[in-house]
Amino acid sequence: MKLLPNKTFPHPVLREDSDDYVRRQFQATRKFDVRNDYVPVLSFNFALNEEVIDKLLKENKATYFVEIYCPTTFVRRVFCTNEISGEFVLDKGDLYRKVEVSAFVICTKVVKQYSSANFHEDFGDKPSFDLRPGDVLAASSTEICYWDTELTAPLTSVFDIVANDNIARGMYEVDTGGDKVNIQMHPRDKEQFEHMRHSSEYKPLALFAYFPVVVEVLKQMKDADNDDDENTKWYRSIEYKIDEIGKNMESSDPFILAQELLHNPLEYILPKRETSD
Amino acid sequence: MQRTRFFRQNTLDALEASIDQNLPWYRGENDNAPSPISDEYGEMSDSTSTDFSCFDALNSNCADSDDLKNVIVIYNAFKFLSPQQASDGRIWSYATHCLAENYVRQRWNNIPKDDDKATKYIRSHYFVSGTRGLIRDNAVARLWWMGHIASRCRDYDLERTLTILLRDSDVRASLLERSSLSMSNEIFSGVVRLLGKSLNDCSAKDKKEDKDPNIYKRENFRELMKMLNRRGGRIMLNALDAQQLDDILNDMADKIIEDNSN
Repeated sequence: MKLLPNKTFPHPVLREDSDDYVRRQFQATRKFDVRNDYVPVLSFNFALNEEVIDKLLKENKATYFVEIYCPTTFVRRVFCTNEISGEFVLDKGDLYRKVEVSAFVICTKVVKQYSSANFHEDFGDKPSFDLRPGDVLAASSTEICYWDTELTAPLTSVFDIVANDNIARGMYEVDTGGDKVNIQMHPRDKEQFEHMRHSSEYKPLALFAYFPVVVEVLKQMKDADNDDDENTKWYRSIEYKIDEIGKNMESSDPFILAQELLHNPLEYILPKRETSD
Repeated sequence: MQRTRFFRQNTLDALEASIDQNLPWYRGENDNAPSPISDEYGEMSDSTSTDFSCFDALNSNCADSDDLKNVIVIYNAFKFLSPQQASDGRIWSYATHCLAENYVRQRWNNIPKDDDKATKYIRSHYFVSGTRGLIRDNAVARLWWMGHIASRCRDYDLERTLTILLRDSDVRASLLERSSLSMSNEIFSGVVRLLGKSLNDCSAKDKKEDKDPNIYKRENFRELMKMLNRRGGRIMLNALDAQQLDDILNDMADKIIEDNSN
């Protein structure tokens, strides 16, 4: 439920664009993060200085309520909590593109004669209201973010394998002119490479082949010859992943950084190490 | 078993831009009409493997209410897809053109004679345009998304939920094709429970499920949706527990049936 700014309720609702309450606030900070295997996690933190609502929360007659709405994936997930901070974990693949996150305090039980000394004087002298489960007590503004798969997808997703008759068998070239990095190879090699890439048996070998490409791309990013690169999906995605592992492109050696981004590709093709090593 | 395939974006763009030139192929009017399909496709990972023969099991000689079996076939075959993956029109465009082309051609065979209208019709059912395109228009995507939305119901299995939803075109359109309601698991499940209970009560009384319960009648069901939307604008329906929501829905249904029977 996205609250329209001028939406009215039959009782006072604590929100930033309304003066139903005087000198009282409800704030909800919300931040998305990505965990292992690209699972979306929403961290939240609530701050409320209206004593009557706080009392209802402590008495379990109200709850904090967060709604995560993603129109592209037809997902509308709701979470209830009485904690003022924590995390909500969604399912991998729940989100894509525009995501709206709304936070509320919701009444969960019948509450008779709900009243606060902080109601606006326009509600009259000692006003009180009867509340039902589902009634909104407080609302924060809806936050919008964009869940971009280019950011959360594996590094290799910014690379496209493209057939090129002009390239000799056994060779491959890199083209960074588009939104994705094209790895060009002979059509026959492409066919075999695609098979390897999707095969659980040969995938490690295929992944190792990306390594020199990633080194080349990182060198290009570091040299920063072409400002247009920064507007491409591949650039933004790699930049995000460098940030994610806590590195800095300017101060990193592309050869080492590539290995870190690919999670040590040499390990893909070596036999498993003994634990005593 | 084969990995799920999708058209690469440039292939898809070219195909969509040339619908008018490929109308003979879409109409199936000439066996020698050149296929517009190139072999440029991408594949998802091993974990997305499925048996493409599922498309041969699709029944094209069916009305909307008979979609049930088709939904179960496609949803079960592609159950591993996440909502994010399933929102990718490239997968479904590949399916309509390369895997289920016979089904699509026979099921959606009202291609208008006028070429401009025909192009629009084909774009709607063979490709994906917007979110409506996924759940309502694309010939294969709609089957998966109906199954996915129905699978969210916590009270019945997939087949029972689909039986409840596909019984009436108004119910299907309101609950499956209008996303605001179907997106909320809690409210969706509540309405399905209400409809399921009314079907059970009706069949217990009449010993068969052929007779429509009162709440399925068009004017009653539409009034229920209106009342639900009005109430949802005031309170957080999806914050209620199942019993609280059922009480509200049952009260609404009783009032509507009583008012409309007077």
